Amino acid sequence: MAVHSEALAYGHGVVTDEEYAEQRDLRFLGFLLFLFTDSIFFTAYIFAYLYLRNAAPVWPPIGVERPDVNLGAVNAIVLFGSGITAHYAMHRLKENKLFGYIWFTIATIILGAAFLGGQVYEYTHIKATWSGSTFGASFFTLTGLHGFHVLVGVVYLIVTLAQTLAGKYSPSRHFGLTAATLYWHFVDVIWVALFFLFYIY
Amino acid sequence: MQTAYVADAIGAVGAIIVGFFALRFLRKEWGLKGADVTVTKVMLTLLVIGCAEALLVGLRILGQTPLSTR
Repeated sequence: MAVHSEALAYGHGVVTDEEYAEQRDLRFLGFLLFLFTDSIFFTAYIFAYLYLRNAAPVWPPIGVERPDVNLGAVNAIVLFGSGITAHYAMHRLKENKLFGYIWFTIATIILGAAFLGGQVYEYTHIKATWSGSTFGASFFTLTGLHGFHVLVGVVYLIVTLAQTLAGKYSPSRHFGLTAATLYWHFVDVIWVALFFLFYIY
Repeated sequence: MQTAYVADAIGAVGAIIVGFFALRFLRKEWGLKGADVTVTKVMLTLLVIGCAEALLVGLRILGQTPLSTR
């Protein structure tokens, strides 16, 4: 055990299952704290939006239109569907079905990219601008921040897919994939709130 | 106008399908214990709520008039 720990201290050598489990718990805690701070970040902007919204006599301001709710719903389903495919991918890897994992991860990446495409379409067709009104500023800031998170998530998934193909992960050691799936679920959940705020409320 | 109806249909059907699978996962993982499983359960529950939102929009129960102006 001492030999393994020493090897670990130098960043190389075999990690025992016990050491991996201990590291995994610490890594998970760290990742959870990251998701928590990220959600605080979004919460602050959401509260700022709600304050502006309730303080305004008319919402959205005159001359500004709300985004298309039908397109928003379709885009939301694309993103939520990608959450399901990400979950399926995780399960396939745990069952040692690499082929299934690869296909579901590719599906997740494609759906994530499709969501971003939908957002780009929305941005080019909405009758609001970033500097033209508080609605526009709030909308583009919050959805833009979320879109950036989706883009990072897509890149993260591509990297973890490449790592899996290179043999880094296994059914018993796959914290990187767990983190990627949790991050993707987080991105989905944020959109649940933003979809309600901008398209329904 | 027709595009709106097609989008509604896609949204509603998609919401039912995605919601079904989310609920199925939730049911499978409900009895499991562990920090990452708990976090996943919370996320899946919120995903189901999101699907419900999209379904209500697809059925034109929500979204046509902002909630706060009703």
